[in-house]
Amino acid sequence: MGIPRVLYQETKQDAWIVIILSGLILSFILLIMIYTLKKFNDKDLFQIHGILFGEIIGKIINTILILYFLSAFYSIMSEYIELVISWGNEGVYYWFPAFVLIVLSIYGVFGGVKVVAGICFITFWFTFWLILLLPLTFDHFIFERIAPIFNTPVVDIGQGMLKTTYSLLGFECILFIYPFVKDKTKVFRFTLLGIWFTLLLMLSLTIVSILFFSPNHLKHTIWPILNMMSIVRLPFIERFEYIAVSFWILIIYSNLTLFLWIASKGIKRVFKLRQKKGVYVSGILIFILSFVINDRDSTEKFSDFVNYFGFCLWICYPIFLFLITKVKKV
Amino acid sequence: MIRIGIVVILTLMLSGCGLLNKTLEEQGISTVLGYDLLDNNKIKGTVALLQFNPNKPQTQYIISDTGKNSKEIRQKLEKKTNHDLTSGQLRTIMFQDRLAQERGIKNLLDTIQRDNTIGSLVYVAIVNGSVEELVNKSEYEDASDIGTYIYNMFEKQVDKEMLNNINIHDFISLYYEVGVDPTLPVLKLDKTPVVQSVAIFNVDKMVGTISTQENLYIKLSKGKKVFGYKTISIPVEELKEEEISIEDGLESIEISFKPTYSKSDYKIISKDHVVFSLQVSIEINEVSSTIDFNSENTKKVEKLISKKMNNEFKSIISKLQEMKSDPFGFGSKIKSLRQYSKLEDNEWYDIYPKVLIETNVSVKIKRTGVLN
Repeated sequence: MGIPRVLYQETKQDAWIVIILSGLILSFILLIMIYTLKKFNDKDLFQIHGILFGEIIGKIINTILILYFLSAFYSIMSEYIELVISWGNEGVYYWFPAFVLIVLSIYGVFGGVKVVAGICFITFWFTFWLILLLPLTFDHFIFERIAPIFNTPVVDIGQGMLKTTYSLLGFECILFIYPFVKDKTKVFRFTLLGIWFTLLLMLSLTIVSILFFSPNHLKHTIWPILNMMSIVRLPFIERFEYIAVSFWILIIYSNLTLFLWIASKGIKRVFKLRQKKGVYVSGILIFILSFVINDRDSTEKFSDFVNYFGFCLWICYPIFLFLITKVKKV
Repeated sequence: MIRIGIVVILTLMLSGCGLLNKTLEEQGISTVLGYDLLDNNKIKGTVALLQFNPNKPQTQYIISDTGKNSKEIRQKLEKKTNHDLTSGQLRTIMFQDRLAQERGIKNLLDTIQRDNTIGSLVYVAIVNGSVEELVNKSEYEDASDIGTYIYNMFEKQVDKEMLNNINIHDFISLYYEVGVDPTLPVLKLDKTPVVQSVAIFNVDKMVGTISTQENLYIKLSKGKKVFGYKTISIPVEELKEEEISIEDGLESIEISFKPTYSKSDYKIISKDHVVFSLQVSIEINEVSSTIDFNSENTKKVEKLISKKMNNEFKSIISKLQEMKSDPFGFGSKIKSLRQYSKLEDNEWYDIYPKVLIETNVSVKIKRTGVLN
């Protein structure tokens, strides 16, 4: 929800160019990932680490991965809770929505990978229609706001790309789902499709935000997409943004279950715990964290940290992994 | 069993959300919010609340109090009512003209935008005179309360007449934008609130007013649909020069028309030279004397109207330049060019009064009603 603002802060009205460029980078990384995965039939990244680096180093790297997914879970959850608490649920204890979301995700993960995939599928169709509301904001567009195009220096664009690529993460999950995919020849095609669809969505949201808000206004607005929706007025419902806030839970829910599933899978591989126990342990850890990091400043700092962490892991590390596989000739 | 247990526990916890329970009868639903500047530099806030008891004759209840900022006022107002003040149905926010001139209204609007219960579709208006008086004394025809009355009136004016669509989002957004200034309608109490003129702003301070007829040009320049009527008078000599025959004994004729389509075009020659052309399609609705609108005469009338409108347009722009206000957004147009993309507000207001703005209005008569 806050992405257009983040992008705008870096590269101003050229934010949309950055998205397209980042998309190209992501596609390239994806290609490398799938290539590496193909070398090891039916293995996920946790197992690949074991093969490549041996038992002990593999376990250390896998633990880092687990920590990443747990903190990514927390960062997504805390961003949503921050949103819910600021829009209409003032005064709710921070731990309460955290508790509900954690229990829900645990419940989802217990269903296994099929249920997790099902959740992702259903939530996509349940939330996709929200984008159809954006044209209703057309009346308030000012088209000069996007001009002049290509006005940002190349250095800034590069810097913006560093910062924006990690807002677009999520495709790394393929590294863990790969063994479960039936038709492996089509994996690349469909993940690529997924990436570009997400990018297109983000692109349109960013362009609309740039046209809708004046530069400084966008900088001050924490959730621009929500503010845009507050201008939508349907005959039967006056304040649409509250519905959007509630529906947003579906979008994050699919992420939460997926991340928790991957983390618990990792715990199973590394600590030889049963996956169910791994889920409980992760749930409790995250719940405890919600008492520590729970105001806007600290959650923002935490998300920044997770994003940076994710950038290193999923943009730089796959290239490294690819080179290692080449050298070791697996 | 465990599953059922979890479901039961979660359901029980959900009732914890009842913390935010809002019963309609306990709500003081405010529809209008107004601010006045007092002589001792304090601000007086006025709120009109809906009253739900059907046995009482009046449908609204008005309270007001003074304070340094809006939240202090609100806290004092809470002491004056047994209802819980809420602003989810707020329709209009009004400021006394003196407040807008001396203090600027940005800070007061900022708290309103920060509040998530207030939507973006709230109209903002300036009141010529005291807001408190307007809210208290005004009649409101058949509307349930003063807030609904003003809201409906603005909605109609924006959609069908000459007011710009300025809700709180637009105002704040234009306030932050470099090189464009917002405008707001000015109300005056005359039994009911009447739209008197349009307030012109420099950043967030009101610097003057223009008439709604003059505001037409702003609306046309933004390419918005305008349905209001415009009347201009053309002296007979000019008609004679163009060899259009009319009845004898008249000094001038009045032509009323309604713009149906407009397209604006900016040519920026340099930072201090802009050519602004406006193409307007109109429909003639009323002519005070009979003119035969054959194709030849139509062309001539078009030319006369264009000339007349062009003059008016020029005088409005020079008036705005004097007031250092730029509702047309010339600054933002200039800023959207690469070489001037670093233009800032201070710099723009320094050069704006000296910028040479050439105007070029061309009118096309599309239709003349059902008569020729």
